[in-house]
Amino acid sequence: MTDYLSKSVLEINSLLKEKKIKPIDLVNEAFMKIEQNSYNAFITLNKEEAIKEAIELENIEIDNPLFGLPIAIKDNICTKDLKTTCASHMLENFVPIYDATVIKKIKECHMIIIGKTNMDEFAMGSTGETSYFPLAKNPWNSKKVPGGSSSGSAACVSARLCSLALGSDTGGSIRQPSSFCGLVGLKPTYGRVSRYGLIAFASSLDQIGPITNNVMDNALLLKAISGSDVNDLTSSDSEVTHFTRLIGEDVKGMKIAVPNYYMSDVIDLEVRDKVREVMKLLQEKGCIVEMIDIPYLEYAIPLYQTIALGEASSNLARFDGIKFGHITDSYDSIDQLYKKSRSEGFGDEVKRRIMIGSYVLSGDNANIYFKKALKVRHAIKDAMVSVFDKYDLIIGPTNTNVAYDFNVKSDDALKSFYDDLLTIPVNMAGLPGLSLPIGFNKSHLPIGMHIIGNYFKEDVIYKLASFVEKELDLNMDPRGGDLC
Amino acid sequence: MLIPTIGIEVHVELKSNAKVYSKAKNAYSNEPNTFVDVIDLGYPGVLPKLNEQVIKNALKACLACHCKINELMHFDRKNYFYPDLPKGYQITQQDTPIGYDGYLEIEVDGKKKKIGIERIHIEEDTCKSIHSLTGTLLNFNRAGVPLIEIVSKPDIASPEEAVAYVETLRETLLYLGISDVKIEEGSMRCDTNISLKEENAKEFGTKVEIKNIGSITNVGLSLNYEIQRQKELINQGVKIIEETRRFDDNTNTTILMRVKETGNDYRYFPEPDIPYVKLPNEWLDEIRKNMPKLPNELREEYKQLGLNYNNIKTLIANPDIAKFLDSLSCDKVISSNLLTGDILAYMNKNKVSFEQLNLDSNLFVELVSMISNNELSSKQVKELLPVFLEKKESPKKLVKELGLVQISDTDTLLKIVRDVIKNNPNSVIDYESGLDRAIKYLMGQIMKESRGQANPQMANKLLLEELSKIEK
Amino acid sequence: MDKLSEKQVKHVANLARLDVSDEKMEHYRYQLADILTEIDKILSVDIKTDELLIAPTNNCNKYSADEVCDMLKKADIFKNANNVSDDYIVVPRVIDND
Repeated sequence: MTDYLSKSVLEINSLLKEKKIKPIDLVNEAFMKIEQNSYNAFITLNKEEAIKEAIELENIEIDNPLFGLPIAIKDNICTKDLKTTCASHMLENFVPIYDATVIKKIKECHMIIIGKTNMDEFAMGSTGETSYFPLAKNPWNSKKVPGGSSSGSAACVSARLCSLALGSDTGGSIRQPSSFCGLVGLKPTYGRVSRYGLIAFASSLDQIGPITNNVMDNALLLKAISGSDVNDLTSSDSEVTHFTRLIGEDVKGMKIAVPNYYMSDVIDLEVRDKVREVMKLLQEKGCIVEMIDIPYLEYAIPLYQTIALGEASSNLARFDGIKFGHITDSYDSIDQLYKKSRSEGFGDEVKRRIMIGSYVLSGDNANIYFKKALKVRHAIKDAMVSVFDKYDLIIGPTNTNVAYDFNVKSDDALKSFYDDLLTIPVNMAGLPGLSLPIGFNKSHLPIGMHIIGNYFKEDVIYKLASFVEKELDLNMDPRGGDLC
Repeated sequence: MLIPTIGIEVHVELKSNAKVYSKAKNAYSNEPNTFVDVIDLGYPGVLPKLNEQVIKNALKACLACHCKINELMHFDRKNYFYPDLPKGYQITQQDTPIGYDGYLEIEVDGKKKKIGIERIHIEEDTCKSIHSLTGTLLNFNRAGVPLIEIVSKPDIASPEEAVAYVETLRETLLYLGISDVKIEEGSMRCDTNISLKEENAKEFGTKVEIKNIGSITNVGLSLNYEIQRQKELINQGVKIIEETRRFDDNTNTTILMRVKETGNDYRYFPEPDIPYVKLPNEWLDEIRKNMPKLPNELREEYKQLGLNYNNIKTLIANPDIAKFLDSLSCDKVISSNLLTGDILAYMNKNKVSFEQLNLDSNLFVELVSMISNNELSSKQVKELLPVFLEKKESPKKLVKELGLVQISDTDTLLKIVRDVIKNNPNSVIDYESGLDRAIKYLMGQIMKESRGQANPQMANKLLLEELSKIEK
Repeated sequence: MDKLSEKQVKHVANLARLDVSDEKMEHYRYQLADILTEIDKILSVDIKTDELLIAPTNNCNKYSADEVCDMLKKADIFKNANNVSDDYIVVPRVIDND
């Protein structure tokens, strides 16, 4: 079997341009690999359509580096005529009648959608375990969770089933699974990528972003999906630069902040040690690396519970069994139709979060808690942004730990959020954040480093990320990993 | 004595090409579910847009109602489940209504009063539900149609004031050209709330809400009924319950819909999908500059011109006719009589709008001056008008063509002339003292007596002859 | 707070149009209280700003022009709907129009 899909985008692009391979070879490889072991990364495959498109592309001129590349799409991004389930019984048979803006852009680049990836139901979770479908597995160790909520997107890129995937990140859902699976995952600046067609979890926090094997691929994919969109009023007019433009540049003189909060003893020691190694490396290479305090970060979780779940309870109200989605078999009133359809259609975690969200908005709570949360959020944002007055980037661990076993997270409403302790503040502020593999723990599970930039400074993030990637030169192919 | 306190909430559909948060057509269609976009369906993944024209139209209403403007505003989500609400929430403005703290001046029995306006905010309409025996049918054409909600302060003290308020509001919005304001068709909807209290009591009584009021007349009828109903209950010592009632126009009574649930829990929160709106000053300036004359202002002008009450009322109700009248420089009383009388009757009879009538103002002025010169009797006017309105030709020419009969028989004319002289001794004295206008007046009387059919030249000759005889 | 009353949980479940089984009831009574305890931390935060951060965007005055675009065909409107009759989506009869 061929293994083109473990190569970088630019390598594959050269092979395509030199006519050594055709898009159909990539598509065939992807589906052969998926048939062998899919790691339950996909909910729906787009095989027939993908093959058709690949053949059609043979007559079209290659006009961009992503041309003809297979891509996997998280199953909360609407694809016209291709089932989009949000990994929920609620949308098990939902076939969108329109394409998300990112999907239009992907199609304009002539990329080939090979399937819709597994995820936590409605992106609510950080292990992939709340999916209604068979759970995605971590290619580094199939007893471990791949992370979530973009579990399938991370699993399929990590297993080299395809080289590119889109995820979505509300509180860490791109960065955390990327970190657990040893990948490069970016949550772009809020507004960088249109959310139109992304089935909303928390509208003010959600962003779509790229999950890839390396930094360069990530930057190329980000370029393809970025830009202002008349269909998303929160999308930004900010110029879409070549995000690759600083890749390969020297990092000497860069000022880097490490928040003390990100290196506290809540964080796994091995994870902290790896980050410290990188800090040391950067200092050696001429960067200024300093520990700093950022106020209000400790409020990120209660803020998330208030804002994300409040918004979610509203966003998920449209699933009522009427216009789309699951409807219960028998009912004799509209109220029964609602309650039974929703209770049957949503899984436990989703229902719990809707309950919490409804609660924080009900009665006086909306004024007491929600409004206050929006003010504290403003303060967190100001505090984080002011770091960039003095520093180019913030770094730290992506997560408190590495990938863990299935079934370890108890049914505890609070604990389930603590995984996202370090990723949530970035969504609160709307800043861009990337997870970069920086090594392994003793059990050879990947450790991710978080790089956070100022608004619309994804190119600066990529600059540092590519430098560290090159310096560390890690083998992040789990097929080597499983052997260890 | 028990006195009523009344507040009114009015929902008005705004005119625009597209809906407020989507680009589907904002119009009525006989065909259900044809003016619908994914956004109106509340489809998973969709996001709202924000129609610029809707904001401008809402601003016009705010300025006409003397509201303060929230220059920095956001939108809010009002969350509740109902089949006619596709997203499970309505995008509205809770915290920062576009306008607040305004007023509208009404007039009841010649007395003017300012009714305070609490707020005006932008929101979206719901689906139209059709209730059949087997179920409720949803038509999404109306979902997302732009609305403004205008909430009065509880300043209204009687059903008459309530009717005047709704009427004044309707006229004002009509003149702004931002809505059809047809209550019967649902483009304007009123909900009232009313409580009774002892005249000097500080606290308001318990509020009862009345919905489903299908006409302006019903605003008055429903409130009158409700005041009576509540008075009787209070006099019997029964406590009024906070409830929602609907008006039944078959019996002219209000019927209980439901007892108010304790505090509707709408879980309002700011809409994250629509960024802040900072109203540009240029918009406000432009709207102020182009603000049309509003009914209250016009009413005053008409009074000054000496128009009668009925004409004023009819003119205000027909803004295009009022605008036409405004553009004329001839006798406004005669003009308004013509326009609101025979011409409006013609329009109604032939089911044409004033616009379709395409009335030429020069020809109209010609007609008016013929009338003011007594060249035409009212009977002749009635005969002439339909032809004039159809042919759109000079009325002088048409009179000839129509051969509108003139009396040219000397004996008949002489009899009329003599009667007029006999009946107007004062004018004869005036004539004798050399006042020319006496001739004009006497001629007028002759035309009147002859129902405009006297041949003016002959009559004039005979009149002078007869007068000279008196001199002798 | 220890736990919420059954009535409070039922109220929230009704707002969210979810059924809460007896088995889950106890669970929710404690969990919602836990969350409230957690978010109570927000109340004590001392901040200077009174500004709300509704969404982390500097976008402002994002309007769309008053133009009509292509609209959906009925087949698309009804594609995922569960109960369609002729030209309408149908739901159980509701009369109380709010």
